Amino acid sequence: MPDHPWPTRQTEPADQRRTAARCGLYICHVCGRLSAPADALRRRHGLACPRCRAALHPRKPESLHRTLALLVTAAVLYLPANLLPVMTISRFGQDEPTTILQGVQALIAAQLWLLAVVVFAASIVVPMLKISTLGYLIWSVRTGEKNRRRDRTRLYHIAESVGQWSMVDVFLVAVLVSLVDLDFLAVITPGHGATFFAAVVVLTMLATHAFDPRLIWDAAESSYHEQ
Amino acid sequence: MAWFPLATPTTLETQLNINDYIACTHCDALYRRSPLEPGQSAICRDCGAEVTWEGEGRHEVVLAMAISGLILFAVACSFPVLSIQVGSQIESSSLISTTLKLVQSGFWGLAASMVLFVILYPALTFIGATIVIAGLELLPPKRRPILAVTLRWVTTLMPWSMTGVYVIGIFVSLVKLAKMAEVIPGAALFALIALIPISLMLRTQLSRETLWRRLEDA
Repeated sequence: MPDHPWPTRQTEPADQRRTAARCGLYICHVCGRLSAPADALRRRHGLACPRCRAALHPRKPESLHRTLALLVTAAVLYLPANLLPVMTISRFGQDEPTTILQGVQALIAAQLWLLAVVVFAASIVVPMLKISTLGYLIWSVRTGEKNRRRDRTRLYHIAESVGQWSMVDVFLVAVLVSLVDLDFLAVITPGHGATFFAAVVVLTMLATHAFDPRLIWDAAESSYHEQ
Repeated sequence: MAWFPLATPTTLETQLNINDYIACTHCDALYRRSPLEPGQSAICRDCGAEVTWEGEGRHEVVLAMAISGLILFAVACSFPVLSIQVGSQIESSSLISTTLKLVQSGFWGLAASMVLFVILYPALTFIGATIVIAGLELLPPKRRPILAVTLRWVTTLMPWSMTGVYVIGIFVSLVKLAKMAEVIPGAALFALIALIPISLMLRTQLSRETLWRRLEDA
């Protein structure tokens, strides 16, 4: 994997940046080709990339609204995802429902520190950070924040790359449910918390996809044009 | 489009050759391309994201990776991932049986995440990669549009393929169960682990840019 040395060079003042949009060019999100509207394919619903035929937009359409809608849904579902049990362990006729947080507690109690940290990071820290990061990014674009554009882009990049790792808990439940089905010893059944949790992960991933980080940069530049 | 002006090219020559330029998908900065060495990547001066990179790969290597990915994936689907033994009772879990179990318990959402993210999307990614790379060698140029459609789907599905995450899930359950019973790792677990470096290599050997350029040149 190519590494990411983030160079520390200061960015140029907003008004001097040469961007694709200012030169009337669209970037294709699938294949990365640049197109001028004149050589793009014309479709009933707009332009398409001449190389890979994916839809072309100057910016992701309705990016802020779609991100916000997905994010709010994810935040609402985050409650049942954490309050409802993700699985129930039945041992010796006793049912023991477990939520995500109780799962981490059990790992701590068993002194499996590394696993406890992994599960805590993947299931609790990552979703919360993702929801708050995207929320902050939307807010910063809406208020036309001009500072720290580079840091905010980096923040987005992080949210984008940690996306799928929260699924660990969902897959853990899936494996345990299929494996632990020993009538005389223990039976593990899934709980609705797991379904909600999977929905939260998918929704936050969709929200990250819907957000267009170029809006962070536009905020500084379009105001320059308005002056 | 109302909120940002589509300016006429003033800073650029009006008659630019689009293939000489590249833009950053994270901040829209426009750059003139310069050739990269294999393994080098171009980092955006404005936002620090990766604009493009040059893979080290040769075609044969990538094709070999894609085909071994397919075979390993077939193994991962047909053998048990983990088994536990308590006394004389043995319970095994494979990708398919895990999905069926979730369907039986009525947890359709969980079953769907298993099918899509662990079975279908990774499978389609490997099948698609094989088709594109083999097709570049074998198909006549007329048929190439099929490859473009395939590559587009591979690119779209890639972020949703979660075999690596699934392996972590298996490890957590392995450790959790180790106290309770004897846990026996199955062939599918080893196949899934071997798939991680292979899908990484698939991604680093050929860049998206290189693949699309080859498709276009043909």
